[in-house]
Amino acid sequence: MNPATEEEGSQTKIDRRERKVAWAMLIACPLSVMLLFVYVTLGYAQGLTAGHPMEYLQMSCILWAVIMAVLPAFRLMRMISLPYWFIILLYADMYMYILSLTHGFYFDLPWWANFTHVISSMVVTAIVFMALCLMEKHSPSHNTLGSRGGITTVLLMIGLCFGAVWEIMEGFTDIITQVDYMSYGSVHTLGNLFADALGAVLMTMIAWVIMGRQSAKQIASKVRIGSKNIDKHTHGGY
Amino acid sequence: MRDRVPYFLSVMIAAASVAAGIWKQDGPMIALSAMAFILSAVSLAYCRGDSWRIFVIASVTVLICTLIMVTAASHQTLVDEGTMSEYTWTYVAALVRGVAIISLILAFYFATAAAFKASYNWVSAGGLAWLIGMGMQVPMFVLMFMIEVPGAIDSVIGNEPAVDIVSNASIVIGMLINLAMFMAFSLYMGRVFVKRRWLITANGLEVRR
Repeated sequence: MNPATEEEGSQTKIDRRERKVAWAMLIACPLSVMLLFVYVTLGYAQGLTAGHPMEYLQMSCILWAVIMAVLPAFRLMRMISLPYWFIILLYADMYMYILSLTHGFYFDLPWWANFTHVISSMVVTAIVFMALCLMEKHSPSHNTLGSRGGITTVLLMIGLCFGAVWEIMEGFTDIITQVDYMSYGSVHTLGNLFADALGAVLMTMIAWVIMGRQSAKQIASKVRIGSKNIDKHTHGGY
Repeated sequence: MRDRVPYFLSVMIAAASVAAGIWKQDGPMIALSAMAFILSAVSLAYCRGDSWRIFVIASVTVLICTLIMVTAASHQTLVDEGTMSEYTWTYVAALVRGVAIISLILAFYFATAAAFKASYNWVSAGGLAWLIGMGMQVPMFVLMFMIEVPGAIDSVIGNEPAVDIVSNASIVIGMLINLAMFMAFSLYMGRVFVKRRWLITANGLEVRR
């Protein structure tokens, strides 16, 4: 077989597989969260006894069901395609949030809020990692972050940065509203920053391992935005 | 071997700054001094040419800021003795720490360019500088948390209610002031790099042809 035809065949297979996964996610993810909605509405959720109002938990379920449908819908519309490792991390974070909310972990387990900060910080650092790989791919040759160590060092610093930016947002909300709505005092803020730092460090370690197997350009080629880029990749363009 | 002397000097100045921070248990300045020490140590191993100036300037700046923060501008001197309110002190502390971080941002670019064969133009040097500066704030607050808050780690895992020693507003305002400082520095750095066609490379500062 002609190598070009062979390549095109394998890319079509990748496209088909990605579309199948997107369809499965589009159905299964919102449906599973709506089952949680039923669980809450029937009054079985432990989050209710822990102190969350029913309307709050119900609205959270609806909101997360909609949010979880966005990425697979975008993939099916050929608007965005992301690497599997990132999708798994992102959806694990979303499920952990909604499950822990309905089960009252935020009230019953004092360390849970900081634990979710660790995971969320990992997700943000993963987004930064993909952005840096894209930057590396599209930059002129005289602008480069250098070797694997260079990219991961810059990644760590920027991953840490978003923890600080998040805490500014939380604290500023409380300063404006004059209510301890998001930050509950300086120890809470400092504890969150500690957890954010831990998440950024963990994701940087994962990025280091990923970059041992693939170059920044290979990682960036799996982040495709717009139908033109998705078609180019899945129909033998590369 | 003689060209290593200024780099070694920079490491020693940073070490003195770490010692000053430890002496007065100033968590933020210990963190910034430790960063100056690490970056100077990297420069000692990898940097060549005139880059030593950047590291000596960074280490001296951090040392001066540490000395100011543990003596004349410490919480104990200014707030506990009633010279100024905690909010006013927050501005002073943020400005002093911000100046130290700005010098460390430059050192970070030169050290990583030499160690990892990177090359930064105005996009990386100007565009990412404020993010790197904000990133340097987090280890600073983590060390502040671990050193200055009794029962800090226990409070993270939810065992002990820790005592608030600084107000939340002072942390947030401090971070905001520094954010504004780093953004202004980032914009300035980007403009200078565009105008002079500068690149930070493994060989130090170069002009792109």
